[in-house]
Amino acid sequence: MWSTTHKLERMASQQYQFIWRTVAAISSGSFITYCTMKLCNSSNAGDMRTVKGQVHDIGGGGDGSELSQIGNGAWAHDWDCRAPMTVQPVSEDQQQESDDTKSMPVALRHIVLVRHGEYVDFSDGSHHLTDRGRLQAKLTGQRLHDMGVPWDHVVASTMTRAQETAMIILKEINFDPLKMKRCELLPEGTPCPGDPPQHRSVRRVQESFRRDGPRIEAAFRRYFFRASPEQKQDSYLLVIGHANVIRYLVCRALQFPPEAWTRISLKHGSITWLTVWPSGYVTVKCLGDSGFMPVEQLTSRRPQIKAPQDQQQPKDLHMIENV
Amino acid sequence: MRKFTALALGTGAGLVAYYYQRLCDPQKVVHNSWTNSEKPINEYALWDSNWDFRDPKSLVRPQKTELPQEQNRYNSELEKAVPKSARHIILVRHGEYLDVGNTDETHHLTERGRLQAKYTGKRLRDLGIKWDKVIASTMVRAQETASIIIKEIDFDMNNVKHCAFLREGAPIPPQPPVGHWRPEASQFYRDGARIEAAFRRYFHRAYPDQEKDSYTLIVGHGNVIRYFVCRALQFPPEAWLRISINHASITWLTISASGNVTIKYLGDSGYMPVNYLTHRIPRDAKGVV
Repeated sequence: MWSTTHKLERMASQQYQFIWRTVAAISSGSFITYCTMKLCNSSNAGDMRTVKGQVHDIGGGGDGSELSQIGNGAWAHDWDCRAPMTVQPVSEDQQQESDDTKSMPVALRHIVLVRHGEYVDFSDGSHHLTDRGRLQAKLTGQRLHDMGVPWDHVVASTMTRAQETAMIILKEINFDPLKMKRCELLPEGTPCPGDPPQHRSVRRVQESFRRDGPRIEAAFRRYFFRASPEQKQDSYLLVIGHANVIRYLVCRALQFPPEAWTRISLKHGSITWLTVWPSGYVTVKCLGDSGFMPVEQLTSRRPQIKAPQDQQQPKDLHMIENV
Repeated sequence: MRKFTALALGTGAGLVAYYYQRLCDPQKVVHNSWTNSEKPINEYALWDSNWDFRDPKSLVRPQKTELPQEQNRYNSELEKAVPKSARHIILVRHGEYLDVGNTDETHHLTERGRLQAKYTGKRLRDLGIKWDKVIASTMVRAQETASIIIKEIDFDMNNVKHCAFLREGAPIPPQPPVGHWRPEASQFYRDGARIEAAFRRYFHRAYPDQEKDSYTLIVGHGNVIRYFVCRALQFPPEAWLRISINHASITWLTISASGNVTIKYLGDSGYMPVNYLTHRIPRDAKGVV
């Protein structure tokens, strides 16, 4: 009995030693692996960070030196990643020079943003333009027609109210509806939390921003860039969209803080005209131009009264046609 | 053999620990993948609510103690200092003009400029606003525009104020520095402070004793209006040259009782026929700026 216990004790101490050794080996091994992985990762992360920094600078609000400049009102020149090489290779070669001049953009890009007309919610969850909204769209279309601009592209948001507005405008400007593009990036959303804050709960703003923010930024990157060197003539792009999106696009294009979009308000059917110059500068010609509408047709938000279920033929349109 | 197993186990454990930790905070990797505007980009993006130094809290002597009478004093004073109504400031640019001669006295509106002013006057009348103040720059082209507009709207010519602060000038060196327009640094030095003074004279939230929304009409100049817009909306003021506005166009800024500023439209000129739209001195004129 005694001997067996003694033997057991010895075995136990041996076993303990073995266990301790294993534990030590495992912990040191894991510690070393962890440290090496961490080291690798940090060097990786460093690379990542620089890449992100570049993305930021392109985004117009970089993290690095560009950032402070933008805050100070300086213009980020390579905002669309299309700036011709600023540092030109030193060479006497004439061929080289002509190549450089060839790669300089020469044309202007006009981007005309139009907000949809007045609309209401129907009980079945759909949104449609009101009679007044149709009239607004018609007046906007007539104004665009009067400007006598050869439209190259017309893009509309996929939401019903923008589609309806687009159809009315296209009829006025004689643009083939089949050529109109429908863009999934343009529907309404929260592009960015507003500053000063809106009257919405912070949580809801954050939620919708998480959902919509990157999409609307993608819309900006799709439509806003300087003309490519191949483009020889000024181009005119008509975008029919929504108030939040348009306001965000304006702030981003002019390199104003994007949070400032809540400081702008737009009328239904109003025209906003942005021009991207070959040098990459962006100017705004008018923001929320709605002077072509009679004062009583000016609206900027949804009417409080619910619309009737069955929509009648808009009578105001006939009036306009008679005039 | 044992040692090898232990080492392998240890490596495995280390890997597991590492990936577990990585799984735990994914935002370190995903964060800021497209833009950093999730939080305001920078201090300039933050709205300064006390931009005009009329935030009620800044007008009241701060609460010194926690005593109830001190609290009452503070609350009642604060209540008295809170504005109740909004101020609408409508900025109108002058009409098209010719820069004949070297002095301002000879810079008169063109025929088209007069028509533009007339259209603007009609539009302002249609908007049905009861004007509280009309202010015009003292330069001839603004004076002429103002007198045409006054004829159209319901306002007494004698009540128009003439303000030399509003005269055209170079407010601040623009960013980006574009185009042919490169004034001397001395010009920015001379005009910059004056135009800023004009901004501080006309842009502030309503006084607490103002009962109704007020409407102020300012007839001014392109550079000044663009600078005002940037300053009022707290955009970088250097950005003013990114905006261009047509002759006799309407720009509508609203300062709400809370001190927030919104813009209703910038350079609205849709009420004019398209062939009347201009934004610079006619090309064929001599001495084009």
